[in-house]
Amino acid sequence: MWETLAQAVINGLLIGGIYALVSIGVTLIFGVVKIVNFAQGEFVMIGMYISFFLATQFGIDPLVSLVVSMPVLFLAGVVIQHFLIRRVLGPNDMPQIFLTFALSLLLLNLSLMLFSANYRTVHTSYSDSAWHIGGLYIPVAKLIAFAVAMALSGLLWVFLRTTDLGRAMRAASQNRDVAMLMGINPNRVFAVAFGTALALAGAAGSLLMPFYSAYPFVGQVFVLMAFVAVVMGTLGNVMGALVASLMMGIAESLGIQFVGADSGLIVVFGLLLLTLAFRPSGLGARRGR
Amino acid sequence: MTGDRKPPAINNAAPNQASRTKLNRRKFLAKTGGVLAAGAFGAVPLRGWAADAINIGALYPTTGSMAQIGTGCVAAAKLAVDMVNEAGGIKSLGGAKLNLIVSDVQSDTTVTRTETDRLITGNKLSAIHGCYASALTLIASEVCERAHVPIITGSSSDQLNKGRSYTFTPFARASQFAKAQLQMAKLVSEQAKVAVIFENTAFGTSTSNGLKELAPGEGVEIVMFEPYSAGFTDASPLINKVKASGANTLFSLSYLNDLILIVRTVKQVGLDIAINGGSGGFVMPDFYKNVGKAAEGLQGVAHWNHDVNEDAQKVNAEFRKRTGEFAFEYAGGLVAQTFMLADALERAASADPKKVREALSTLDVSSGYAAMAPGGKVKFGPDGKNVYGRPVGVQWQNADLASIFPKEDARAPLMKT
Amino acid sequence: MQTSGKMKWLWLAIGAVVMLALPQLVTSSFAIDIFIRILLFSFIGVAWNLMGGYAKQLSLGHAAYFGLGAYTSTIMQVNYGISPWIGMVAGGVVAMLASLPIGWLCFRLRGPYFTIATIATAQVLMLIFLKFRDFAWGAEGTTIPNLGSAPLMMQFEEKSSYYYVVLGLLAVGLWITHRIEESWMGYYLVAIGEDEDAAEAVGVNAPKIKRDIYMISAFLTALAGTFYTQYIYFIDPATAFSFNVSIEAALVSIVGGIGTLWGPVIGTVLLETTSALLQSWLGSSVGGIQLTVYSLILMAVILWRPTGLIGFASDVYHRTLRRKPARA
Repeated sequence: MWETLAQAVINGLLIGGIYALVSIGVTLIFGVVKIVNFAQGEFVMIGMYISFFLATQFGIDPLVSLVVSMPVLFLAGVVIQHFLIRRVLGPNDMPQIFLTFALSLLLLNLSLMLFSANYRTVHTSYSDSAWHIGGLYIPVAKLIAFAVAMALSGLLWVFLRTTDLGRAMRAASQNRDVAMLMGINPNRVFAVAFGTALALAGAAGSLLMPFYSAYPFVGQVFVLMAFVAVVMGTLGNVMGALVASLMMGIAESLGIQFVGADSGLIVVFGLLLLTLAFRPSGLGARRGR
Repeated sequence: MTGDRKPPAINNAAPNQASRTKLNRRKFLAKTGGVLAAGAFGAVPLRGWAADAINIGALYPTTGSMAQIGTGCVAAAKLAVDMVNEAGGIKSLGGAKLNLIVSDVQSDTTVTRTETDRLITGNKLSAIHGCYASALTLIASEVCERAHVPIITGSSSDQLNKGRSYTFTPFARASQFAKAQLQMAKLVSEQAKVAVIFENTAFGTSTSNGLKELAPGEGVEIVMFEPYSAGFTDASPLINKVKASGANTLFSLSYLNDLILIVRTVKQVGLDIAINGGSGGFVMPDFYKNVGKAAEGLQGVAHWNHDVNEDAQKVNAEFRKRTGEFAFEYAGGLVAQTFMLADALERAASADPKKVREALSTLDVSSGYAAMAPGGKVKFGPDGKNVYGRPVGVQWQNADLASIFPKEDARAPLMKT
Repeated sequence: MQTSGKMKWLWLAIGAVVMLALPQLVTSSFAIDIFIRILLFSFIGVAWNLMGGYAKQLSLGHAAYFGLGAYTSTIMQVNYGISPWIGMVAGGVVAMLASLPIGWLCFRLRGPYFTIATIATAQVLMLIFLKFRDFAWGAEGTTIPNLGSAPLMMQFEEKSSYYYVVLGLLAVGLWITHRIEESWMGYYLVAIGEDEDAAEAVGVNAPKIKRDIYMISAFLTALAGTFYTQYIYFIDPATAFSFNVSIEAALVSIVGGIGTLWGPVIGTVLLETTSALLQSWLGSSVGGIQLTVYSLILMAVILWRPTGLIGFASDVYHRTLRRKPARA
């Protein structure tokens, strides 16, 4: 019994690390640029395809291809922010949401045209291996993914706290008008935020590749959970998204284990609605507001 | 219907070869009238021989979450039509050629409704085949029923055989798959303790119902019976549960992506369990490509397999030439279905859909491409079900799918694992 | 639009005659099918627009009511033989009642929180209908019994009859919207949409107004659910609670122009026509190309007219027909 429980927690935590990379991106974009990016999952998909092609064409390990997928998606983020998102920024959030929605539809179908609907898998030496400790097991590929995800989140945290650009981003996310008065160039900050968020999505894609298959719709599997985590952890709150992602991973795993394999999402959504009923701004909100 | 495609991720695989062919054969008449360019919807075949050609509609999802199998089906449908035409077309109609009219139903129910209508009303169709996915086929067949156009389908849902007279299902039904799986479990272990996990979709639930009903009669003990949400991010929680159930055999009724994760996770956990992957994703070439050696020796069931007879092997060789993959169950089944239609057209000596239906209902073949199916014979009962239809048990052996069960359909010995 | 009273009635009368005559003039049953789709999604858009457009509450969970309506009438029909006409209204009532707790929860939330909570409610309902299989056929769904021609059971052999049913629904939806626009409720809604706190400060009972409009919106959306199921002859949780329905409802309104009477209709005409034409042109070529083109068009429209096409339509109308500046 305890073994089953412990294993369920481990499973949930490990996949929660991936959710975290996706949701931190969503929350960063929301915090700084104030839009909800429905296309975030598609950038995970692109990250996966980048790693897949580097692995099959050049034999590069998916974890190493992180150094390609992250910069490529960072640039993509800057470009998208500059040419698309910037043009619909304003008080009305509906065009923004549906612009990112249309972008998601575009990327999905473009990749369907280019790569077909087939599943693509990369087999690495560690793909299917696991460490067995007592009755428990820890899959190596997922552990690596989790560790890198946590490291990247930590780096982001340090970046936001210690660099001028990071501080500018935090300032913009807390109060945009004041930030602009202080002489922060919003377009530059927005572009960096969008780029960083997409780079994280790309990292998630590369980290997934050793143990998950790439296909055009893969992003949608992950993005739903990321949205739940982002809302639970309070929009714009990076640490909140991180903690909520890990919690959601565990909640899903426990739900499958103890409620029913078709109930993981019911548990997750139930927790979300319950949280919102009592804390309408999520768990990461500062008390008093 | 527009919008992003988020049906429950039903994940299938199909060969790469999409419908990368010539442009559509439709011309758009510019009529006035209405608030729209209403006339733009009249679809007319443009070929020179169009007047004599017999139009066959093909409804498959080539976009959306069901695109993999859908694109493979389209490739097979084209191959089948070419085969019929190269063999001289329909002789009783002066060698009329079959003209395939393909439509993408986008893995979407509304689009399926619309496209079925569009094909039927925009073209003089003699028959339709499609859509492989149960939910889509149910809708398409209802439309066909009311429009009096026969539809022939490889979909296994038992619901298709209820109260219809224009729907024909030449292959094994979901309930028959269940029985075959249970009997195969006993090939591996006399005391099979089975964990059944099935995706919470029409495909998963209909087959699992059969398993639950038939297990006591077949002397198989089911120790775990669990639906799961299709399209998960991680199979570990589910496999953790299977491990705790103490089962020695795992039945997984899943489409491709989930099944890949399930099999890989079982291997990671180091669980010693016999796996029967059912039909759906398991019998696709993509399954082996993604799972690799871990697939060797795993069992499944199919409504068609490329080694059932010599004709099937010929079709397989041709399909492989065109797409680079072996002919999977829906692909091969589709070729057989097209030849069944050709046989019916031949006997009806008419392209009128009602007469084609009549002829299909009296179809009785035991040789040739039309009969290349497990059982080797096709004859439809009053419910549109092939009275000889049965599934074939298969096993992955040396990167190929070999028929191993039942005895009369076995083409290779069971590989012990 | 500032059309004078008489002109307005004239245009309306012409429009009505054209719409009524359309199925008689157009023989292609496929064209009628497209019209039905346009009318249906216009109607869903109109229902959504009450909530999302006037009060600016971006709900992406209207599939919840669509599905509840569809399931209520189908269960009544298949299990008890009750006519879908009755079931349609019953489904509307069920949706209205369901909107109370859902609204209670969601209206505490603002902005994206509200949106995501609405998505979650629709998803939870879908998962529940999937999980409890004895209750309503589970994932397998069911087909609608084929009764041939049975107008009392909402089954018609002629496609044009379906057209008239959904045309009637759209007319009702537009009429209700128009009445609300002209009532105090309409002003309150717009005030809430502009600035909810300010509206409350001047004495608008925002929670009550939002609750009421949400009930109306849910009721209408549920009617569409019943019609849809009867029209495609099939129901399962994935179809009835499809995220597509929620997205489409909002999308047509946003493209057409939110918070306007005709916005959803204009948006639907554009989007459905585009999608139908792309499907006929490209649907049998490379997989995915038609939706790629569609999404490019969608992006272009949003970038070009973030506030919807209705402003553009009215500009053109005034420029060409009236030859006077559209805006003061």
